[in-house]
Amino acid sequence: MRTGVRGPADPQGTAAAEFAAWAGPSLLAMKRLARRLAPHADADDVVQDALTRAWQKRAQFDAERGTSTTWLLAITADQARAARRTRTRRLRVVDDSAELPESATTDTGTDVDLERAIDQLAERQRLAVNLHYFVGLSVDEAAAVMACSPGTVKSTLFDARARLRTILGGDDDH
Amino acid sequence: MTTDEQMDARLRAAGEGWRAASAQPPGVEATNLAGSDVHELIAPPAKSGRNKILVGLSAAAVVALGIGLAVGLAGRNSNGPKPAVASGSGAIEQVHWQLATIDGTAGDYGSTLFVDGDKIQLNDGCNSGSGSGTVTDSTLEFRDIAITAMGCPGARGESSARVDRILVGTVTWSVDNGTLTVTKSGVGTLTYRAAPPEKSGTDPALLTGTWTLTGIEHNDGNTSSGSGSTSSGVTLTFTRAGAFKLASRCEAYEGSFTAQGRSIVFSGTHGTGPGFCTVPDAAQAGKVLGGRARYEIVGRRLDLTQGAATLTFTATR
Repeated sequence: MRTGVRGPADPQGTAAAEFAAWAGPSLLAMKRLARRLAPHADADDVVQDALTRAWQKRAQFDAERGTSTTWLLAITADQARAARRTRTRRLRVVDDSAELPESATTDTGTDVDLERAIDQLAERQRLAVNLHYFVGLSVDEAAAVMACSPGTVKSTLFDARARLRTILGGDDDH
Repeated sequence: MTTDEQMDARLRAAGEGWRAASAQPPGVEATNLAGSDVHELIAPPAKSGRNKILVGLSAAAVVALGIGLAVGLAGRNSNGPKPAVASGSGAIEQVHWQLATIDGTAGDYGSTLFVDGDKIQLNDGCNSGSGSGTVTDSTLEFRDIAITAMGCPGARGESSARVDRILVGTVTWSVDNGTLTVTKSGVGTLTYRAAPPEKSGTDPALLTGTWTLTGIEHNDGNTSSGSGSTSSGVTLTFTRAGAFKLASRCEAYEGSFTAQGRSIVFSGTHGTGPGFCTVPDAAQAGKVLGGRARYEIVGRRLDLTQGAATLTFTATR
């Protein structure tokens, strides 16, 4: 249970502190990915769930197979996917057709048309686009998150760009 | 029409602009938690009208690091107590306990406790969590508990905070006439009553019935992917005769199974269906239903794990 009191001899406190140090540098990227993949959900909730899951599964992390950030982002993507699907189901149930996507209008200077187009991409394409362009990962890092090869990420990004060009169509005079 | 290069540039510009706009979300301070005071990070949640204590990224970190809470008490005998589940006239383990009183005051606190071996699941009435612990015939030690960190306003928030203050470190417990009494010396006492029996444990007989697929997760070393399939419509039915059937609106996988302890062995698995219709979740799940797997039932939840894949089901009423 929660406690605000922890003595120096507390082994779990030490473990939590070590986990904090380990996960800390990845938090901003996790939050960004959560916001990108599940814009209608509370990004803090998504990150919270991801971190909790990461803590529970921390023994499975293998430093030889990837970085802490890519591992945590993979878990974040999972949690965001679940949050997004929950939202989708809710929208279908209530036929909330008047509710427009908010992601395109929440940030100053957002390329609204592009955001709406990204929202229409297939899941893997959207993940690749968000990881690479918006979270700012390299292709290799995105590949680690997506559990595929860098070449696959490149082809997925290529397909995504082609799809975006199609969606944006002729009025794409950006 | 734009070229691929132009689209790439547009995406880069959009991404850079977005990152710049979101570089420092409200509440975010430095993300270097290494030097943070964990005592502060896991402080009890503030009460908030928004019913949530999370504000920005740093708070999200709080939640994560409110992990490992339940502190093992300093000075505790590290040799470990002998495993025991029963005290007095009853057992603490594998019973879904519902909080009935806090320091003698009865109420509908919505708090629960479930102990199964070294696994503990709890809900303080506001937040839920799980982790590990050690149970002896008179004490229960909470360790390594990951718990959510929502803030609940009003009476629920107050009662959950009282529960939290008691369920820390090592507590004493006893069961008498279906009532579990948990006492934290000098802090307070909780009494729980056994909830109506649910399926829990690894008794093969508990598998019998129909389960609905709610999630598929793949864990491959450093990567994890999965799907939330709450509305998958994929069901798995076990019969007492040892047959199973995984069915979707399209296909089905059938065969026989034997279960012992935490292991279940699927054999003779074969697919049936029209052939032109596939439900991805069912196809993925079908791959797990062959050979040896591990299973666990907690409450209404069934986890089936084979290799890196875990299927999660919920009991169908």
